[in-house]
Amino acid sequence: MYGVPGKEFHEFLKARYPSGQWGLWWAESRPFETELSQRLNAFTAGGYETVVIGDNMMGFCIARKKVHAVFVFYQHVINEHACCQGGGLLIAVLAKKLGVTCSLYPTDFDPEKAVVGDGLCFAGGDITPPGAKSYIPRVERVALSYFKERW
Amino acid sequence: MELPPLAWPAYDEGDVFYILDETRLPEEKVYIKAGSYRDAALAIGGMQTRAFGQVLTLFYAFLITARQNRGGKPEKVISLLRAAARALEQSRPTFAFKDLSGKVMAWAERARAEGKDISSFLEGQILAFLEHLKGLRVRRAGYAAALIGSGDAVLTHCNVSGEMVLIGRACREAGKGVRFYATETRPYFQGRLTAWELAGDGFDVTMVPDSAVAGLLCEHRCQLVMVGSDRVALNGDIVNKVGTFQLAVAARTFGVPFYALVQEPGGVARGEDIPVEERDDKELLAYRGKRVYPEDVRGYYPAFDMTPAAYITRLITFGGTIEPRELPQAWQKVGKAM
Repeated sequence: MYGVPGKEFHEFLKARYPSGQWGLWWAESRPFETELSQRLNAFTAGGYETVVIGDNMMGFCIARKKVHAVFVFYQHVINEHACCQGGGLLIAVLAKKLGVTCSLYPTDFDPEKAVVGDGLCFAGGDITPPGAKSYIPRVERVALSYFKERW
Repeated sequence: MELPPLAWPAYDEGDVFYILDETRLPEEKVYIKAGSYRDAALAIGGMQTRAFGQVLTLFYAFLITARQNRGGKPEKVISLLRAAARALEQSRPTFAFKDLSGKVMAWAERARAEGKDISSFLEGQILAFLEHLKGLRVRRAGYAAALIGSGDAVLTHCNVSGEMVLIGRACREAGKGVRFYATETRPYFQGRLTAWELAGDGFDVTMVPDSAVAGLLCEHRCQLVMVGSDRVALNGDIVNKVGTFQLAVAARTFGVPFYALVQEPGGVARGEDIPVEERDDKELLAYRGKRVYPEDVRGYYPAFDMTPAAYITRLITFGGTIEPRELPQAWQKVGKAM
């Protein structure tokens, strides 16, 4: 899973990917790991084995067959491109290159409106060293051709 | 030439040595006192020192073990050195500690065979080798800089112990402007150290989330990717901090060259033969002692990944830059200089 899921995503999963048969591996989706963390309780309460990985571990986990399907959350579609949280392009590329099905699912979480610090933050603190800049791509446009299904 | 802070992150002082604690940087510059090889193994295992720091730590651990046993019976000294080798080799599974400790043990056995005082001989060998290594790294930075065009932005991952600063300096000396993008590198944020070092040397550096790399490369904000490596196999595959592989896949997808700094390949034929360390998920799920994710969530933290040679444009060795397939032949020449 990449991005912050919408509140109804849990209901969709229950019907299509029931707990007990499926576990959920979540990329941290930096810098929105706090928002993600707040929404994980719904899945653990629903009986899903819930695993968090760093965003830098997505390629490893897909290549090592730790995951068998990928979901990317999106806000809307414009001109055959899904507007996803920054990082959506990377996981879509990885899924395609490494042969794992990648699907889009809508979310009410809007990374453009979410509050982030001036610099790159983690756990509430700015981690950008003095003198360095930071760059946070909140949204990426990802071609729909990367995705097998769009919900 | 003054080296960047992480290019030489340890120093010896008689029978002890001091290791720069990378887990406390950049906020605090604190050194850990190591009085034995056990202290050294703990610092490596706890990731307080990494990359070239762990190489230095291994050699300094042998150095102080030798100094503490100067004039000792050869059998006893060799036995202690073997114990040190075992402890250091077991500190982390992926890095080729065994190749380095094997070098030290060969020196010790040679001293014994030639009837020399093992400790004194070892001290001379270790200090000379480290000095030699320093020169090789500076030269390698020059080879890397030659791959960078004026005005280029370099995307890098994790931290290469000061070498990215040396590369930037070599560009600067050649009159080439260069900018850097550093991935944050979860969970220890080694990218912060890269950004800190580069900013401290006056370079334009931007830190980005690990997931931002495809966007950066797709938009051609970066003209090349350059990373270090913990291991290289004889077929040119590399093993490096987790995230390197996906960076290479993204670089290939968007037509951006991908370069890797490498050292001695050792005897491993293929990257997939190198074990990947899996570390405690607490290191991912907590930050500075405080849990970041709900208690019933677990984590998964592979510390490294393997990037096949097919994704690598050129390897940057101590002897120059080569295509990955040229590694076995190239190493025969460079290896003799080691």
